[in-house]
Amino acid sequence: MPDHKKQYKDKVLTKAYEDFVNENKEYLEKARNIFLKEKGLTFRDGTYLSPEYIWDWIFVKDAPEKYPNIFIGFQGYDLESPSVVKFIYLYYSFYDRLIAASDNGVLIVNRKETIPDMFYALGSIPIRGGAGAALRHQSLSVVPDNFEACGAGSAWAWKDNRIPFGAQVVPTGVHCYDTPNNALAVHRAGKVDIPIFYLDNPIGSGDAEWAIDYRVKTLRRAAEEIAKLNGATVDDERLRREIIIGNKVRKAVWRIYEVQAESDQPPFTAHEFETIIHAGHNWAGEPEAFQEVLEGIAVEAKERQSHKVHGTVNHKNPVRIFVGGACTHFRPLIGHTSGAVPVGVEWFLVPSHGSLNEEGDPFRALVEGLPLKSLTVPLEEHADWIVDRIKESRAEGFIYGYKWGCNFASSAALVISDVVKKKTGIPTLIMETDFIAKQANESGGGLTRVEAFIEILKQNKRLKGGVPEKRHIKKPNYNSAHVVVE
Amino acid sequence: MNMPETLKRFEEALEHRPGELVEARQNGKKVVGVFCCYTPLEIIHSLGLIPLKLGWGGDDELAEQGIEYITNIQCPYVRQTIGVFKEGKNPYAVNTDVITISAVCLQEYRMVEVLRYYFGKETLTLSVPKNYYLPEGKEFFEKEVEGFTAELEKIAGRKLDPDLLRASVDLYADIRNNTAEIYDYLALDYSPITWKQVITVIHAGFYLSPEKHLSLLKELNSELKTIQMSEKVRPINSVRLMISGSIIAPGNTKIIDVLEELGVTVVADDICSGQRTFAGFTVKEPTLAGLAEAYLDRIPCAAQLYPDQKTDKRLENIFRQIKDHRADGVLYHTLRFCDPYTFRVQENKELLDAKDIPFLQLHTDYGANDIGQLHTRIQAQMEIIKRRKKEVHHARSQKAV
Repeated sequence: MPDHKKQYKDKVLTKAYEDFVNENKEYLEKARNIFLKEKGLTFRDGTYLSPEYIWDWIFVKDAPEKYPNIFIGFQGYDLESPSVVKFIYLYYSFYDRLIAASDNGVLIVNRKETIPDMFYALGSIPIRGGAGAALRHQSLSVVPDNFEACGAGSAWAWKDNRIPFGAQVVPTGVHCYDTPNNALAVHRAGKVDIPIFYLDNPIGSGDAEWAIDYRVKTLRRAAEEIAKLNGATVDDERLRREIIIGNKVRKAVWRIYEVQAESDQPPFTAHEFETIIHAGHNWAGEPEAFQEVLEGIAVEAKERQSHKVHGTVNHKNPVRIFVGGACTHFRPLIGHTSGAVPVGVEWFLVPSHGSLNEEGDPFRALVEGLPLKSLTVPLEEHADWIVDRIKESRAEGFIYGYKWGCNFASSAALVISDVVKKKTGIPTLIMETDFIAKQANESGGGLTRVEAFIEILKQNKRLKGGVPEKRHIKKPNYNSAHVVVE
Repeated sequence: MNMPETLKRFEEALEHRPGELVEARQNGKKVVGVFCCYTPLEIIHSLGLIPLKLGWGGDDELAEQGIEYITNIQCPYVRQTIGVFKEGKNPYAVNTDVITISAVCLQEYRMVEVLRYYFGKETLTLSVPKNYYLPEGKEFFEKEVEGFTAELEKIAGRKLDPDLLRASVDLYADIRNNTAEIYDYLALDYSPITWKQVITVIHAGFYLSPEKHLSLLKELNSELKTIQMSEKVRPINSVRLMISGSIIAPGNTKIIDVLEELGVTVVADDICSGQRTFAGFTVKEPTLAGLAEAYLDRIPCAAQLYPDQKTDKRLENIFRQIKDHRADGVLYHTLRFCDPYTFRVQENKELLDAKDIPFLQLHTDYGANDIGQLHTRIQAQMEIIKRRKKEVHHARSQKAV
């Protein structure tokens, strides 16, 4: 096994932690007192973590030592929200728990854009390869910079054995070419001898009955192979139960989006909002605990909203931005000082758009609830999905982002921006960013462009005056029995 | 070397083709443009529609024009093809009624979506499974071909006739067989036809009616038989290279021009617009199921993900051709931002290195700014190969002595 700790210790930024703690002593003390009155977290295996343990892990013991760089973004979190603190623990301790689980024989699966439900039902832990935010925060992504593909990170982390993947289950044809190819290159190069399964979603096949059948068969085959690796059995009933938990997670993510989108003063900062809804991809290795925490965040955010408390450091009347595109975010740019706030991020929201069927063939339910559906439909329909979100969230600007080297997402940029412009009339900005050259998004040209864009939006806002009129937010098809916020 | 006379007849036929298309459309015929190589042309033809294989390369200015509708991190082939539609002068683009895409390459699929949105083209997609080697993949494609045919029937305004389909299958089989015969000359020490000419002949079939194409191929084959032994076209010690990698679309002569200038002889390729248009392809029965099986089972594009290196038909094809055509080395051509082939560079290099076969990757686009660099790199590779050939020859001579 590699020495995982040594690998990230090389890149830590201890100053970020020290600065944050020194500058926020009183705030932290107040937040701590609130948090310690809460109950802790219970994991799937029955382990209970007390609030003291969680607080110390984040602020005293583990994170300051191992991951001090995560404190760079901590000003964006409302630490007086207990569920947010629990979320922080789940999110940033994921890697440690992953390694521990692997050491205990749990299969870790690099799953890319598939839905997590199936993997948890098989007793494995899925990671969304290349997009594992916790992994990125720990500076673990290792990407080659000598060819024109996006830095689909964790395939390469896997190659270097930094994440103990036991299998790769890679969807094809959904929207990404680089990750399936990265996976294949690593697999065929024999760098690490673990199986690879392609979950095929033939591009352009739509919802034809034979296409659904094919995907169901492919998914079931992969489940059987994973089960063999993990010493598990494919149990439809267990998968149905996992889908029910998954539906609750998806509904909670969407509720958080609704709270942000329907508020005149969105309660979440860019960092907080994007990190929380992004985590909806992986469920942090603990579906039930994650569900509970997200539901808690939705409730607490609703409270913040009812008291007209906006995100900790947001401007009073920020301009509202909807972010489209794949594998990208702009939280470092739409920061708490910019006077702008994201009211939706396509890439993070799509996997949580609607419930999966909880009855019948669970594999069919997984196929029909394919995540990133908006990316698989014809471009014009994809654009319309974004238009609907822009209208309901009252976004005043649209940024479409893609990673350098991502041919598929980049090729949609102009069409989608054109459709958005025509159907909403709001200004749009296309941004190319990079996993590798972080500075490309966060400073220099990237920063200047986003700042200039935000200035335009502010000016528009001043001319129009006030907050855009409220719009009805379309409810996706969620199971009404899963109550999150009433 | 002298150009075979029949090649002039190909040129003449191509000159007349745009006019024929205009006339056919005036008479109510529909022209179906085809992107990528998994679409059974036989179905289009048997329905009385006119198939045209579309896609262009080699023109940097047109590729620049494409950026108006798509970003500059698409491959130049995709950008140029959009540029061609934007310019609106190419007779084949202009005379296409419906665009079809067999969705293997994601960029090409997206390109068709862009053509639909910005240029109002009617489009039709044939989905191709990536798990093409699994039974469920084959079953899916068979159904997909049936669905695709149903859509084509609507365009044609008539149902598929099994007898006409059989005739079309035979026609295209004849074309593939005749093309293969012509291609096989490249394996000889003295070929009466160059690779560039073979490619021109293949590309002519993208536009000509299959009947006309077949008749010209037969004519060319007859002519080649007469000149095969009488005209020696190159020195026996010249460097023999195989070209592998990304598409070399009609109009893209950048690399082959450099190779010809340097006296390199191309003896084989595995390009989707070259050898793979006809090789490894057998229709076992003239039905939709038979066509689905044959097209899916063809030598795959690198965009088709196949997990097992040892049984990869694409690699088998490369090694078989190196052996059969006695290539001294492989020139692996990748277009910028062509991920499917660029991802395979390292693997191809390692496999060829293991067999001591020289490998050179040329990563390029349609611009002229790297011509000098390509020239130098190919020249250097030639020197290595020549020296190696000399050493082998010397060793053999010594052994003989």
